[in-house]
Amino acid sequence: MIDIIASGLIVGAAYASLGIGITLVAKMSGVVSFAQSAVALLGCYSGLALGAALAAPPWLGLLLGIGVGALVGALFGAVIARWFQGAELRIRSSATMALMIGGLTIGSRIFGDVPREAPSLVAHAVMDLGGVRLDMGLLLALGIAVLLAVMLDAFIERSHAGTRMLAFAQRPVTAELIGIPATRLTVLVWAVAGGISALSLNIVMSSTARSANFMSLSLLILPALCAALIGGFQSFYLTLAGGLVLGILEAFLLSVPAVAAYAQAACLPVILLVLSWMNRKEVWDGQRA
Amino acid sequence: MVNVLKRRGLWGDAVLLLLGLSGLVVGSYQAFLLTSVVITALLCLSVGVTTERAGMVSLAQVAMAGVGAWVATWLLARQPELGPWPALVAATLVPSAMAVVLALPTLRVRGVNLAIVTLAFSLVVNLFLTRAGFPGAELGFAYERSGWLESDAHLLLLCALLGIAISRALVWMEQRPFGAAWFGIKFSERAVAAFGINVSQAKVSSFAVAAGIAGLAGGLMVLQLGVLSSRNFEPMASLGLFALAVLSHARFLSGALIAAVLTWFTPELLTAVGLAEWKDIGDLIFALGALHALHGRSKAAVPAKAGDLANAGQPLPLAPRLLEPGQPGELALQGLTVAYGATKAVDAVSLTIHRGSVTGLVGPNGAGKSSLVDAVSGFTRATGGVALDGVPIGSMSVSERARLGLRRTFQVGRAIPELTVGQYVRLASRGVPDAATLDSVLEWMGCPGADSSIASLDVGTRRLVEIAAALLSQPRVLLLDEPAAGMSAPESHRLGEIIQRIPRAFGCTVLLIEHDLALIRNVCSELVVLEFGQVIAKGPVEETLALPHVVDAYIGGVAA
Amino acid sequence: MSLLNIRKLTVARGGTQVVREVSLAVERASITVLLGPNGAGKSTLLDAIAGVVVPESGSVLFDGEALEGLSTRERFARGISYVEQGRTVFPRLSVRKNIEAAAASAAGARAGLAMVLSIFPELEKRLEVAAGMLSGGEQQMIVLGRALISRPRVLLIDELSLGLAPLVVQRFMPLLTRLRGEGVGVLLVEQYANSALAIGDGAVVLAHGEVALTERCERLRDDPALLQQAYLG
Repeated sequence: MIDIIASGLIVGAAYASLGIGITLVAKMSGVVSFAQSAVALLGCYSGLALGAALAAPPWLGLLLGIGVGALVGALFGAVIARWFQGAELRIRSSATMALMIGGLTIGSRIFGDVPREAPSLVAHAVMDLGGVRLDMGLLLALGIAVLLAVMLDAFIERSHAGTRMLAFAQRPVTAELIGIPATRLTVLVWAVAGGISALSLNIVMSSTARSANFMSLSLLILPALCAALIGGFQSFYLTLAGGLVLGILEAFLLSVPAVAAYAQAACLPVILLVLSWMNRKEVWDGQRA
Repeated sequence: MVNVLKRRGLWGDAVLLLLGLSGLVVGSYQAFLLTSVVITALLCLSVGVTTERAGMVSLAQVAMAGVGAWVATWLLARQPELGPWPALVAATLVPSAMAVVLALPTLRVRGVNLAIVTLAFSLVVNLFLTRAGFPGAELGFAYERSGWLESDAHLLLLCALLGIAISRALVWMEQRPFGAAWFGIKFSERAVAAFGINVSQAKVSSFAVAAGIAGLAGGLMVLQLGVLSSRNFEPMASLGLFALAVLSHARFLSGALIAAVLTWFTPELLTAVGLAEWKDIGDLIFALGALHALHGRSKAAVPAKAGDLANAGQPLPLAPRLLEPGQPGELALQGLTVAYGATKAVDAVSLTIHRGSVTGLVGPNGAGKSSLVDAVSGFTRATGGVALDGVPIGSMSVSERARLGLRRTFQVGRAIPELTVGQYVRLASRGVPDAATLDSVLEWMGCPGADSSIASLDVGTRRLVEIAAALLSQPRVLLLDEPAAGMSAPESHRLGEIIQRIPRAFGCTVLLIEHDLALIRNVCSELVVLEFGQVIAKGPVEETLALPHVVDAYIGGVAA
Repeated sequence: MSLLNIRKLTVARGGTQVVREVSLAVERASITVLLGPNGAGKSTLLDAIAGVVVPESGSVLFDGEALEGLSTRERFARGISYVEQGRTVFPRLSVRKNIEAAAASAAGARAGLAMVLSIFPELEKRLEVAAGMLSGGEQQMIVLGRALISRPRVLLIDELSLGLAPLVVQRFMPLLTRLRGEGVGVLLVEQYANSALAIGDGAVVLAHGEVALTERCERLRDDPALLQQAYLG
């Protein structure tokens, strides 16, 4: 049972961290980014490839990955900010789908089918806590997810820059009228989201110590979206919780042989449940006449 | 000949027919490739139905094709004696039924959230196909075509003919309220509901039709390839398909064909120019193309037009006896209140809009006029009573009230750009007027002909079309929400003349919200003045406007 | 030279020309009142001056410099502050954050907040409340206060008194008079002409997108029939 929860938490940490990246972008720049997994993958795999090429220690590969992730994120953000500034949510989000395809295509071109492994940052260490063996990798993955939620929440709620970003997210035109730089902020938000997504993916990959090829991980976008949805695209803590719960749910399903193959399908009923709950009072398309 | 093709939008069908027939002259490989093109075009069309028409971002199309393929394979494996035709029918109907079931819990889900749900659905289907495999797979079953269908060329021809049939069917549906409603939903659910159309039904039907088309495509894939696997139906492919559909305007068959040709021939082209290494870059090109198309979509502008409407200066001819005018209705409000939290936008309003009158509703900005109209037409919840000819309608939905004869226009124009004037009017009036009546009313109002596309009209003309559409549904009461906003003086004068004649020509009572007091003076027989959500005066126009507290409310007491 | 000079400005919105060849001037240390029935184009005119919409033709000169091609932020940086119609607070942010958001730095935010509270002390007890929950008058205070943090030279205000009781509106007039005293040029769009005319210097009446009347406010105060005619036709 503990094992199931443990493996669920690792996967859940991945979902949560990626979901937090999506929530960040949605909360701050008003678009649901379907491209988040692509950004994470491009960043993470670049870091791993460069790290391997330079025979560098794991943490350097990690840093490089964060850097590339931030760059790719910034690029995507610039496209959204420049070309789709005033467009409605549906068109903006469709644009991120196109970006995702572009990103995945380039990525699979560069990294091909070669499965990669992320070298463990904690050398597969294991901690003994009162008789229970805790995998350091798991703690690291969880820790990063929690840290991200805490830091982002604190930054946005407490810092001046965070206030300005929130203002921009709520009323973009008015924000520009009081001097808040829209394009710069959008690009910044996407860059940060890109960096942290690459970071999370690296940590999780290193914790699971399994190798995977580029395209197979692209489907991570779905449970990440689910987690972000549970957070209402606003709350980092709820996204964290949602991701972890989803991960544990999947792990439980995996442990039952009859339904193991459908473990990943857990997100559909969860999504439907969350959406029905969220929309219980809604009737019309947004605007008033 | 070319003109006929162009005029009736038959380009796509003609090309498809040519493609179908070409199978008879080209080699087997080419015929096979072209069949793939046609099937992909069908898939794109299917995306076009949900996304381009109904504006619902559905990423489930490939999954639906997978379901169709599975069903077809099941029938072909278990009951081979039935031949391919029942398999194709089942491949179309089963996904449609599934779509209806899937659509129901998602009726309130819109836009992005719908995309997430359908993507998740695609994943589930893919998981099922991976786990359960295709029927007969364990026995190594592979369907082999026999009889007439055996040749690749004939299969191609069948696919092409089916494609043409579907494309024509879609066009036919578009002409009827059934399909025109889909565009309405994309543009504005409120507008469609105000026509008395059931929004949920329209959404579900769009989903079901799209799923059916996708399912058929899946069934055809079985015929073409003989054996399929879950790899043919990956969730990510839905995204790719979506990008393609967006980039090529897959609402039209021609667009879908272009998208399909691009998919299949880009790798061939790249190989031919020696770039075989790079053939997977095709997806990248589509992604860029989709971005470009979306960008263009976000900037879709209404054509600007300086100056006046066509007939602005000319006097209005007498309204001919166009329709059998019914009895105009009477609207009674009793203690109507609309509250948003602590603020009361409409505060216990009681009044009667008299039968056959043109009553003006005026008041300073923020007085509650729009909230009142929203409450009466059902868009906003309110307490108190609303009765149409004595029948209480306060608990009815928007479309129910519309069907009872209460119509409204919107402050922000809601004429649907993707439709022609004729399609829009028929949608709004639920197919009521015949062509002759339609044309004469349009002409009388100074609207362009039924074939003009609304997208090409400027805002003032679109407003007129909206009003014409509402009138042609023969309402008993018509609520006009600032129809003259932004019009020049001659334009609003002409509009005023039209409005004045409405009760007698169309048997309809009018409630007119306007800021233009000159227009109100010319047109209305009675006036109601609102301020801070309350009625502060009502009665004949001139007297009411002369009341000192009314002048006060408007101008803030200059007279004081 | 006028502080703000608008020359034959034509602005289209959603395909129709809403402002047609409008010319007007706003002087330093003055309050110009822009009146007219709704739909006359007043809001669109302000939008064009602030840079929210791009005019079809005509020019806007600020201190002699043409503003063509400048974004809203660049105009803001030059000293044009715009208070939009409808009390555009950031609804889910607290009152404090709403005001602080207008400052470029954290230090500026503290100073700015202090300044706004000195003008509108009644906001002090509502500092941590989400702005969307406040009354109309309080929201208007936030929006006005926010606009002043950058010490603008031109202040554009769209419908200050919209949906507010006259007593609440009176609260704001002394502020505008004080701003005039500090050299600011105020362009105030109003429907409730009365209170605006009481403090205004010049008045312009727009109808159907065109200038129907340009007059000194004192003349309009003395002769109400002039205005009534321009408004009520």
